[in-house]
Amino acid sequence: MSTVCNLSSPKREVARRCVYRRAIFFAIMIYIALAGRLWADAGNVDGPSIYQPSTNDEIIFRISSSAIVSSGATVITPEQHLKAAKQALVLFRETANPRFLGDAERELAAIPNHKQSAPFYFYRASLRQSLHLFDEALADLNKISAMKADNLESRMMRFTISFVSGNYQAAEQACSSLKQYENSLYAASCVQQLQAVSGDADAAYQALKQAMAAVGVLADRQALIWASGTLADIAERAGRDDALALWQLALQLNRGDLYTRARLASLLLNQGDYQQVMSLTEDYLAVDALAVSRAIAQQYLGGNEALVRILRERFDEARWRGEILHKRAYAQFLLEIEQQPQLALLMAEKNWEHQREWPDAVILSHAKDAANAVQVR
Amino acid sequence: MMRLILIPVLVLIGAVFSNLSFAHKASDSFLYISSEQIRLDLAVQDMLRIDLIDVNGDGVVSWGELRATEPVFSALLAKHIVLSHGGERCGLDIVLRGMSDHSDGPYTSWSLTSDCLSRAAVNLDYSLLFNIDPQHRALLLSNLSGEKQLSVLSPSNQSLVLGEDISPLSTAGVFLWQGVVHLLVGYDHMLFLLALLLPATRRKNLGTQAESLRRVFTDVALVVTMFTLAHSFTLIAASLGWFSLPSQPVEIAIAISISLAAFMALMDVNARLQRGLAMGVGLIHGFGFAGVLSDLLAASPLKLLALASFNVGIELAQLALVIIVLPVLYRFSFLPLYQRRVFPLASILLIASGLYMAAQRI
Repeated sequence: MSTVCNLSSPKREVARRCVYRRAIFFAIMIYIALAGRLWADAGNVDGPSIYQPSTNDEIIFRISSSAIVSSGATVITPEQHLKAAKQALVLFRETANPRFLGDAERELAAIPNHKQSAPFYFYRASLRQSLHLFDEALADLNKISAMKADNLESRMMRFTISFVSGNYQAAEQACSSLKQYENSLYAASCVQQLQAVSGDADAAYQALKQAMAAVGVLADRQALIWASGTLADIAERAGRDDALALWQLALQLNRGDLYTRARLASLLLNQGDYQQVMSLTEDYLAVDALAVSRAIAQQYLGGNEALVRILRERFDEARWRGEILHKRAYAQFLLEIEQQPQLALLMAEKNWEHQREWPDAVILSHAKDAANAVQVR
Repeated sequence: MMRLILIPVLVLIGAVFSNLSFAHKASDSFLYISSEQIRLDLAVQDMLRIDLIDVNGDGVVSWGELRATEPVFSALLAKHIVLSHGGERCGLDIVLRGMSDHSDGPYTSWSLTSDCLSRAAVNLDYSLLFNIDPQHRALLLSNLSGEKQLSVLSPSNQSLVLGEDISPLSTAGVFLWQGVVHLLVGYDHMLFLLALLLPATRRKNLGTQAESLRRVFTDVALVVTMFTLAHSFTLIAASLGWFSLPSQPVEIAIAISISLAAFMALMDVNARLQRGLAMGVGLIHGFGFAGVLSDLLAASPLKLLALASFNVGIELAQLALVIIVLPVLYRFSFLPLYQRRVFPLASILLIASGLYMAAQRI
């Protein structure tokens, strides 16, 4: 067929064929370009480069107390397994090293069914909460309830999980059950935290502050630490100026708490105090949320390439593994560092499905705004 | 990161937070698999959990100490990483090659070679560290199937067949069907198509000789194919991350495109303008399809074939829709009632639907 392709041909049939022919040519070109790109990308399975240390004395790794996790080989009784699991959970809380969660799981798995007591279910719920398996953690807490072995800790965990996952009705029930305990600061904290999310953050702030003042120096230290963190969270939600000072106070009360440190760093970052973020996150690069805050602060101060490379590799490996535990931190990384608002929004939305704290709402809102503002790149 | 309640043990926690040289992440080993070898990268942190490496107890691990463990770890790797073919265990040569760096610190890099790797359908069983850390995973990257393939082995999934042929026919079938399904469940795309069909049923003068159904069909098929070509382009581009658009404006634009196409039908604009609209709006609809395809595509090793099949599936579904709906509309188009009442009403309904959806999406 040698018909000349003239779109202005008066013969409608000829013009139609020409359009078809051009469209098919266009489609074939797209697919050839696509095939070339995919072909060029295929086949390379090299990992990071391999190097040979120059001498046998070259130090490869420094063993810190938090780097080695006991294999628990000498543990024999269920009680000892439980104790080892608890120790692993404490170490995870201190260091945010997920290898300790593996240790806790191993120790708990070694306890036979007939020896699974209320503390067993509590520690397993704590493990599952740390792995963001909230439904499974609640199932363990239900087992504690069925054994009529609920205590302050299990009720607080139930409140925290329900609150964080946005199930405020269940959180309210758990909160009501806390009122039976003498230490009213936990109950006051959860009541006011629920009031704050229902829209009246200022009133919640005042009420919790009064409750803390009423207890005063008689307050149990752990309860005071918890209430301080809650007050700071409510103050931040209410947009109060003293939120920063309250997070600083909460950190003073519990220097080792990584959650409080991360919230303070995040607030400092939002306020543009990058130098403070740098000093607050120094030595905490192992913790995703703190490392991401530091990388963003460095972005403004200059010279964040090395940290960004590490974080990129860390998140790539997490994606490969298929388990991104810290979706909020990853969404922030995608938004602020990678400048990928669409992907950041996707991650923030995935995070929001399971986790609905104030910072989760903030990152979701920022990602939405950025995604809507972006133009075709 | 979330607040963790562990009140009894809080008492045990001091204010000490040790300096950390490396990032923390869950325990992973990395296996890079080609027809020449399996390269295993194993974290020094995990080796410390398996065996005593710091033999002199000075708190550091030296290269000499790691080299000294080579015989012990070679035997351990041979026990926990097993290749077999046709039910027979394959021989493995295991050598410590050196060190590599991953995001959580130094890893020892091992080379595992076997004649079996050049064969098809070799079974890999991996059980290293699972008894020590149930959260341990082996992350695999293999090119034995022709394309890069990522996999993960875990305590509940310890085996994998390497070099297994992935059926192109099955991939094509799955994605073709997905294309059909995604068009049928995407009611906004369907409404847009309907708006594209309407002008073909417009009769200005009922008394004059009408175009044959065949000719009307080819005209409509041309417009629909233009739409497919356009959305194929943006679908491919968005799926491969070449460029992207924010989802909210895309969704709003898709809704408005329905109103626009119906308005053009109502105002009886010429066919060339309509083809232009189909192409232009098709580009936007492609972004909408890409949103649903991304997860599916990530799981498929034959991405090119998958993308092509998905687009063909959409095109076939569109043409099927035209084949079913067009003869009915063509038949009715000769009725005065259709031209005076049904056609304008359908156009107005489509315009209203598009505007309503756009308002909902703002």
